[in-house]
Amino acid sequence: MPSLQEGFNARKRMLLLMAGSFGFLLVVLILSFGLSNDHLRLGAGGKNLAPSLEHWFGTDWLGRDMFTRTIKGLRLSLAVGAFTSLISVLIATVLGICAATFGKAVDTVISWLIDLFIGMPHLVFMVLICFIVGGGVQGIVLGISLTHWTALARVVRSEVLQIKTAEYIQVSKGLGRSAWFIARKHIMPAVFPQIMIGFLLMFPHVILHEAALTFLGFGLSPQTPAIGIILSEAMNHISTGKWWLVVFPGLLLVVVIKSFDSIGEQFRILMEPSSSNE
Amino acid sequence: MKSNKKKIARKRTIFYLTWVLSIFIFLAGCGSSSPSQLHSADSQGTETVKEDLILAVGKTDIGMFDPKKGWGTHAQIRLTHSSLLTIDSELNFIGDLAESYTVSEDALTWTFPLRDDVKFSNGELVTAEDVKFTYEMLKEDGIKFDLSFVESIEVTDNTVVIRLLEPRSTFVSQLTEIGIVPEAHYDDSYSQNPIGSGPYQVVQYDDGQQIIMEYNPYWYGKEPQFKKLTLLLLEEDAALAAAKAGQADIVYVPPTFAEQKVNGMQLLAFESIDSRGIMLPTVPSGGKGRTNDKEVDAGNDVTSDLAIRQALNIGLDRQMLLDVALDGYGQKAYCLCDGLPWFNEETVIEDGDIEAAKKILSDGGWVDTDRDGIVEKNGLKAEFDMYFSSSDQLRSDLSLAVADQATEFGIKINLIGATWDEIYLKGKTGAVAWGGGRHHPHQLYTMNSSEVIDTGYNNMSNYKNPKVDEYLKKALNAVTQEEANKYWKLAQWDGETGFSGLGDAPIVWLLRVDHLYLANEKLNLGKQPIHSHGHEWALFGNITEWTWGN
Repeated sequence: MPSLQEGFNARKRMLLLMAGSFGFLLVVLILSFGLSNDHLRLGAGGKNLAPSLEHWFGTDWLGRDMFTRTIKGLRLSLAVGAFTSLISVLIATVLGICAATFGKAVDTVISWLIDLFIGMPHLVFMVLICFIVGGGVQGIVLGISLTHWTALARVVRSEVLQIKTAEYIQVSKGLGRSAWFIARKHIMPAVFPQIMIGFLLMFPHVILHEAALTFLGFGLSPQTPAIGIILSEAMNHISTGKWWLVVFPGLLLVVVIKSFDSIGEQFRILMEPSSSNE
Repeated sequence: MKSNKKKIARKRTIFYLTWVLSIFIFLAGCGSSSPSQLHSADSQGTETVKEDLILAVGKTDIGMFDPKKGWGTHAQIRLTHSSLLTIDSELNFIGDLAESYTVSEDALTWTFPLRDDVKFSNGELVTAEDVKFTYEMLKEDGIKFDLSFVESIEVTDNTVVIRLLEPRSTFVSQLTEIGIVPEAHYDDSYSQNPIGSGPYQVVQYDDGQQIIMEYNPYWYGKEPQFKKLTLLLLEEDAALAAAKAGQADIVYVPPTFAEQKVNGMQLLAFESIDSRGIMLPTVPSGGKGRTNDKEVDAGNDVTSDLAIRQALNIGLDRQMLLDVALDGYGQKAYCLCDGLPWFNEETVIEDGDIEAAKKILSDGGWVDTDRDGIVEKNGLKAEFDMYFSSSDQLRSDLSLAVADQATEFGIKINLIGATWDEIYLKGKTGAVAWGGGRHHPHQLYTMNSSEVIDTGYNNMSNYKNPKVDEYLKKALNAVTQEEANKYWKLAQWDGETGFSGLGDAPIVWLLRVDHLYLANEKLNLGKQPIHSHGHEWALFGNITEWTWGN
């Protein structure tokens, strides 16, 4: 790896940062499975408690432990994020490669499709899809994944177009290999790093939009711990001075997103050291 | 890669810009509102007699000012309209437009000699013809007010004589709910330009924003102290914020806000017959029905099982629900009419009995075979959707508490927050956080009789029990109130069957909600009768008695 020559310290710092972010996300995940659902039960006794050692994030107006709700909400965010990013990346890869390899007509159609999807405002489009599907988790997953593939598809398309003119592809073509073979054996491995980075960088974006959609209340039941629901419910109570209902879940959401962002960013720099000075 | 990064960078810039912009707009909004706040504080200081009131008592949009659209079905009319009769603070029926009234021995002929000094807000006299017009128009429409039992309405001099086809024990309360509209000015656009004969006239109505009312100079009753009412149609938290900013004189607060202290304001709690419960479809899925004149799917395989409904009735701990969802500001409810003369006290049970609920379920064939905590019957899980109005904090909290408790005896309730339009569309297929409660027993009929299935949103659960139908019919057609009350009670529970929780439980009633308001300490709301359903309008029955002490 070229980065070895450029400077060991920068790389080390990078790995440390990555490990830190990973560790944090792992802790959130483990906690989300470890914490008992009993903390989500309603109780008349422990209502509206400010943060304390017993309830780190306090309790809400129905006596539910906010720490448990937040962590479990983040798990939903992470799950939806992972699943949605995966679908988005799949769509982006397939369409990007197809556009670049299957000739002008296909390229025109796919480019037009990309322009169409980019042209529509993200949030409005997501709300629309979510509504049509009938809300719920599947509505959110579909809504986000069908709107987030466009940028990556463009990147993949241009990368592939660039590789296509490379000599070894020409040779392969000369040997009479099919377009499908070239796409699978030559182009896929070359664009894989891009896809991986695209996946990681899409994650925080997707989580934010998941929070936005649940905030708007699309189909998730209010029993489901989801960050957006927690925040939108807390809105009604912020005027009564219960700051902890908003501050901690919001803060944790930001930290999680930042963690993913930094993992993606570090990963990108590791994969493409030449761009690390940009 | 470079392009990708740039794109992301540009996106970020836009994101931050949006943030800055929205914060700016937010601040600008705050800035513009503070002068008016100063102004209202000023006017309070200098005026000797306060003549205008600013109220934020709820967001309401039921039938704005037009009885044909439902104005009056939620006790709204007192501000803008007058009716033949009205009720006093002891719930006695007294004359309003009518000077008095007499009922014939067979309860078929009702005679109302009218006052001759009542004028609409445009100065025209309210005549017996207007009364006749209003009642005939509503009878013909037949949706919001059921007047199908009225045979004829005759007018002689200034007296209205209404003849009925059959005795109707709840007719007297309808007389207090139907606001009289002017025959000469009533058309389909009446909502935009309402003319009534109440103490106030609507001068401005901004849909979903505010209603401004001014004193009707032709008002025939006691002159109210307040000449102008501004009703802000705010969400509950916005209303509280308005109260804290000193911008409202009285605001409705849900129980979760009850502990809030606002300078110069005090918490007023009024007992009500405003009941909350769970409406449960009683027919299996696959059917069709009508709600508000739209064809909808009807039925639910889980809630149509009697064991499920009865288990909920006995298993839910009403006191716990009160403490969790209402902070104790309410009473337990076992029927729609707890504490009223037509309430059958036998329906009061020891609730919160999880063992009894489990027993009812297992006797009904519901057992937890796969050990996941939820009972099953023939492979069907005891799981159903429950809709609640998402803009209603109280119903949302109550629904959460109900779903939480139901898991203890193996019933899983999935909550769905929705608008009322969506709820009416889906309501016959799942449970709904339901509400009701009037100063009269007519709702017992409209919520439980099979005769009214598929009209309006009556009998949403499609409940049908011939015995109950018979009692309800007899109660409705009773000649005296005593006889009527006897049958109302039998319809709830006759020892074997009934629509209460002991019987078929199409609606499991849980709580009566105290109506809570934060009101300026100087405001005196007079003697309020026990409130009926709808905290928005229940206050205004005695508006002319309200005073402001300096």
